[in-house]
Amino acid sequence: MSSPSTKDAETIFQALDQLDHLLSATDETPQKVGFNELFSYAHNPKHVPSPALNNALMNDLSVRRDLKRLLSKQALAHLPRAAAASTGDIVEREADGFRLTLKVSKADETQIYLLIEAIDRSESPSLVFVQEEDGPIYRLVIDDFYDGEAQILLQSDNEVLKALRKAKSEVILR
Amino acid sequence: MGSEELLLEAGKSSELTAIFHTLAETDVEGEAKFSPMVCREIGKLIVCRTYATPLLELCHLVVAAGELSLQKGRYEFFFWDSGVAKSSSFFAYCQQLEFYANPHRLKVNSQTIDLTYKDGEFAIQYSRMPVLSALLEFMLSALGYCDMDDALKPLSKHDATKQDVSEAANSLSRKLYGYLKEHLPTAQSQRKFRKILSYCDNDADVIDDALILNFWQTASIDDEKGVDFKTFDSVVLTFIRVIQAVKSARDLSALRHAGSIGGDHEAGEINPDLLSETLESVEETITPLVQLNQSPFDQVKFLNKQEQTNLTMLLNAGELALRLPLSVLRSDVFSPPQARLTQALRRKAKNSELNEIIKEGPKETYQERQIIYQKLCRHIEHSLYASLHALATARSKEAISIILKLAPGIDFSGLHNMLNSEKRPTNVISLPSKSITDHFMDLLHDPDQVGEDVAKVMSQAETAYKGLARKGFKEDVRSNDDLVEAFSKGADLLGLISQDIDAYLERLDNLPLAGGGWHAQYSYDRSVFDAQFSKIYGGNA
Repeated sequence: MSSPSTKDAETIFQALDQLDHLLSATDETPQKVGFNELFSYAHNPKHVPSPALNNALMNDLSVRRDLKRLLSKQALAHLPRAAAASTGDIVEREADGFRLTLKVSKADETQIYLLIEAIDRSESPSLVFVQEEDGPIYRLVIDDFYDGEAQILLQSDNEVLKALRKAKSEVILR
Repeated sequence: MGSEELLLEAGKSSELTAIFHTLAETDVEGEAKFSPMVCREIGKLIVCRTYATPLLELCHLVVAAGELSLQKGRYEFFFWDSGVAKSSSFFAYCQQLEFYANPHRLKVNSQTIDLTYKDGEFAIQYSRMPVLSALLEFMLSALGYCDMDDALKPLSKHDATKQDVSEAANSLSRKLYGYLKEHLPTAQSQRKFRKILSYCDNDADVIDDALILNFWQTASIDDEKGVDFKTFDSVVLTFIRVIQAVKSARDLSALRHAGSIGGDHEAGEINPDLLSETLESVEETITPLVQLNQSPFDQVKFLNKQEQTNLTMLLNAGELALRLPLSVLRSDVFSPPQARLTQALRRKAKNSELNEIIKEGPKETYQERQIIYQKLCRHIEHSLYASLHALATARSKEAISIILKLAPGIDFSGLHNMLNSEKRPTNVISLPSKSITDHFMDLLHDPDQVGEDVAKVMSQAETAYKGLARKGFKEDVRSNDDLVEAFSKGADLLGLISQDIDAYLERLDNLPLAGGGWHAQYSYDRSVFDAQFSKIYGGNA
């Protein structure tokens, strides 16, 4: 077992065996969330997140941390948590030249409008990310940012809406 | 090793398998971002630990990527906004964004991008970029974006030096080393190797079909060994790897004695580059199959997924398929039912269902399996004829080499004179009107113009082409250089694969069978496998 040739053979076998193992994935083999998808999620409004990414954003701290870092690098605007004095639900946030306002629909009280306005900015955001303190990161797609504003209709029990109302949530426009 | 430790070890290494699965499945608008050969290359870098130089190249590429970005230092766009990881995509991306780069720092050339630092220079070839891009994707999945981004931060400085790049690369090397130490345990492989060598009294030369079957019968139900040797196909592959490893080690030893390679060797510590070369040599027979799935070959569906699956074990075995013909056949025939048993067990199927699967047995007998191989050979020949027609249509001289494969010794001088070897100049619009092509093809089928033999082969080629309704065989090849390349080089790969199948079929034809024929051999093996499956999976059939 200890001859030089056998030791070499063992080293070569290990490499061959490990390579077979690494490349042995079948359709049933689990996948990790790849950065390729995280990048698309952060950049591309058309990207539809996979169930694995949705799950990771809810439960995987390292994936959330990675997304936050990516967003912080490319944010158009960062609307940080509301001031410490704020109590109750937040209905308006303003920072970095953008204002976000929540307004109840006159026609249906169970529906809320999220208004996004550019106050003194010329860029058009296409994505809204909302991060709860130590919680998940949600994403909304802005379909039509026109003439410096856009509005998104949300149901009152929508998770993103709930997060937007929390003083300790942060919002990133991209 | 206890069962808990075994599970822990399996869990760690399965994370790496999951990362490689993700890498292989990564796509850009439905197209695989990294080719199978690129993924395999990353696998080799990891298992042979030859990642130091590629990481250095990657770090330089990160500097270039940050330089080419509209937002200086934002290297991400280069890697994730440039489409499928192909040399041509990266070249196009660099050309498009060169305008934004500091000309004193970065130059975009036809083969490389060249970086100039205060303390030196570095060139990166476009052909390396797909692998480097996949390496970054792998590193991010393994280590996380935040950690990687921190490690790459010094490279985004506008005055980063070559020394800074080297330090960043070394830092990444150390991080990857630490990760692999945790996630690429060697103990499992070591254990498998030692158990098999011990079973054959440290003599790999005695390994034959009977020994492999006997080993599986014992090991698959052994509480301790069973984890590593449960499935027959994994046992066959492990034996094949042991034989290949022992042979390669002997070859290395002979080279050392002859003084052909360095003498600073210590037992068990093969130079990583030499190890990588050894792996490449072992993989020689499976490589053509892997290559068929990447650009430009993937423009033509030479072999579909099922056909490739049918060939995997045979080509993994390489020349050992001739030494272990029954093991390869047994694996191909009996692995599918064992896979069905494993899947059923995973969803906690009842014993009655397991028994039913065992009773049902394989979908094909040995004779039927051999017919599958024969059909594959015929299909490959058919594809070669069809490729000949496609290349002749495009007036490519590569058609000659296919004729030589299909009909060696044929007089092709008439054809040779008609094919144009010169590449079309890119600044001239060709007018390959249909009528001109039709006339040309008529000439190639005319015995008076090209001779009886060539005319006959060309007719067969046309028939084959028209009979193939697969991707690539219906497109207009005349104006598509990539398709011409796919047909000409793809034919070479098909030729290599076909040789291996032919040799294997011949070996099976001449195999002395204990029961006198394939029917008896299959019946005997069927009873052996049924009994073993019952023992492993607890059925009572």
